[in-house]
Amino acid sequence: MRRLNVPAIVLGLLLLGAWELAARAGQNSFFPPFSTVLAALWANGGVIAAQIVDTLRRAAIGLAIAVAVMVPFGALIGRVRFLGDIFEPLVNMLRPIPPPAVAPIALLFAGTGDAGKIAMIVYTCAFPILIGAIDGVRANHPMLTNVGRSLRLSRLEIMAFIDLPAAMPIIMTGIRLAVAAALLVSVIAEMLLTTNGIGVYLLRSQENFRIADGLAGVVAIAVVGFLVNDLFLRLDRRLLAWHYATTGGAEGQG
Amino acid sequence: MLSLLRGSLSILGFLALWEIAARSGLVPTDYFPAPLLVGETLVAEIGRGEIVSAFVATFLRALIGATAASLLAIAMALLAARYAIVRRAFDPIAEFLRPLPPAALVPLAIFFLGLGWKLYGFILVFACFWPVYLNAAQALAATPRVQVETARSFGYGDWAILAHVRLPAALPTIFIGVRMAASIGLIAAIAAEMIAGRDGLGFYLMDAGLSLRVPETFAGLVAAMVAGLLINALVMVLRALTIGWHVQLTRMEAGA
Repeated sequence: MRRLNVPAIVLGLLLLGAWELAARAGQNSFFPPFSTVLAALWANGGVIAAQIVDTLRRAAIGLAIAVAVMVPFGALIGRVRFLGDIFEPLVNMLRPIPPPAVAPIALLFAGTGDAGKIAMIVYTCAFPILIGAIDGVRANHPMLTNVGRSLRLSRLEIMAFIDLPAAMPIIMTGIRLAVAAALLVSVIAEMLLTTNGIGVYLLRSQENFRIADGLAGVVAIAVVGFLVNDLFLRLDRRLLAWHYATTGGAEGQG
Repeated sequence: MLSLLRGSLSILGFLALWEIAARSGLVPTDYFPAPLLVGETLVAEIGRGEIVSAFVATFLRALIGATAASLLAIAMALLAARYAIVRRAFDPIAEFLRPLPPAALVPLAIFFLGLGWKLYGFILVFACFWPVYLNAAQALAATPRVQVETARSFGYGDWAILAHVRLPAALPTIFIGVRMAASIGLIAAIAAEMIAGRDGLGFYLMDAGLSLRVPETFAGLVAAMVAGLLINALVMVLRALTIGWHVQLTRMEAGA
C-alpha cells in the first residue's frame, strides 16, 4: 500500500547514529547516547506510560469541553449578527493572550488539581475551535439554506442538518489545531501546577540529574503526539470523505 | 471605522460590567480585581519598571526567535522544493518532531544550554520552525504548473524559477506560517520563562501569581496581551510591505 520511504529512514538513522557517536565520544554525563535513552525508555516504560495517560486524559477532557461549548457558541455568533457584534471584539481582544500566561490565574481559581489544568486546556482550545466555527458557518453558501427552506425544514433543522455539516471542514481544521495545542498546554500546565503527568516526570528527571530517563520521556511524548495527530488526521479524512472527494483531497497543515 | 467603534463599545461594555460586578461583590475581588484597580496597578508597575523590562525581554526573545526560525524554515523549504529527496527525507522527521511540546524540552535543555540566551534561542527556534516550514514546503510544491512552464520557456533555470516564480507565489501561504510562528514564539518564550524562572513576563506572572499579588498578576496578563497584539501587528505590517500586491489583489477580487 504505502511505499517505504528510504531517504527518510536513512536520514533518521544517520541523525540517531550521529547522536550516538557524539555522545560516546563526548563522555559527558549530561549528554547520554541514544542507546542509553532507549534502555531508559524500556526500563521506565511503565512509569512513563502511566504519566502520559494522565496528561492525555486531561487534554482529552479539556478538548471535549471546548468542542462541546465552542462549536455551538461559534455557530451562534457566526449566524446571529447581533451576538457577533457583541462577542467578536471580546474574542479578538482575548485571543492574543498567550495560554501559559493564564496559568497563575487558573491556579488562583481552580488550584493545582485537575480543574486548574483542564481550565487552561479549555482556554487554549477554545479560540481555534471558536474561530473555526464562526468562519465555518459564515462561509456557507446561501443556496444551501434556500434548499433547506424549500424542503420545509425548520430553522433548527437547517442548523443541524445543513449548516453544521457544511461548516464541518473548517471546524475540523480548528479542532485539529486545538488537538495539538491541548497536548502542548497539558504538558506546560503540569510543569507549572505540578502534581502528576509527563510534565512532572520531566521536571523530576531534571531535578535528579536523570538525563537519559528525561530524554526517554521526551521521546515518548514525541511518539504519542505524532500518534494523536495522525489519529485526528485520519478521523478528519474519514468524517469528511465527502468533502475531500469533491475538492480533490486538500491537505490542511496546522 | 464603524466596526472599530462597535468593537470598542463592546469591550468597554464588558469592562463596565466587570467593574460593576466587582464593586457589588458578585465576584470575589480577591481573585478577580476590578478593571480600574488592574489599570492603576499596571500604571504603578510601569512606574516601578520591573514589568517594562520583563515585557521587553519576553518580546525580544519571541521576536528574534520567530525571525530566526522563519528564515531557517524558509531556507529549508527552498531546499526541499528544489531537491525532492530532501523533502522526502525531512518531512517524516518534521511530522514526528512537530507535535513535541517545546516546554517539554526546557528542563533537559537547561543542562546543555544554561539559563541564558542559548536556551531561549533553542526553544524558540524549535517551536517556531515547524509551522513556517510546513506551510512553505506545501506552498512551494503547489505552484501552478503553467507559471513554472512559462518561466522555463523564457529560459529560466531551476534556481531562478524558485527565486522569481515559486517563492513569490508561495509567500501568502508562508505568511500564514509566519503569523503562527509569531504567536507560538510568544507562547514558548513565556512558558520557558515560567519553567526556567529567572526573568521575563513568564517569570513576572508566575512570581506575582504564586505570591497572591492578584492585581499584579492581571497587570502581567494585560502586558502579555499587548505583546501578543504587537507581535501580530508587526507580522501584518511586514506582510503588507512584502506582499501588498497579493492583499490588494484578493481584496479587489472579493470587493468588486
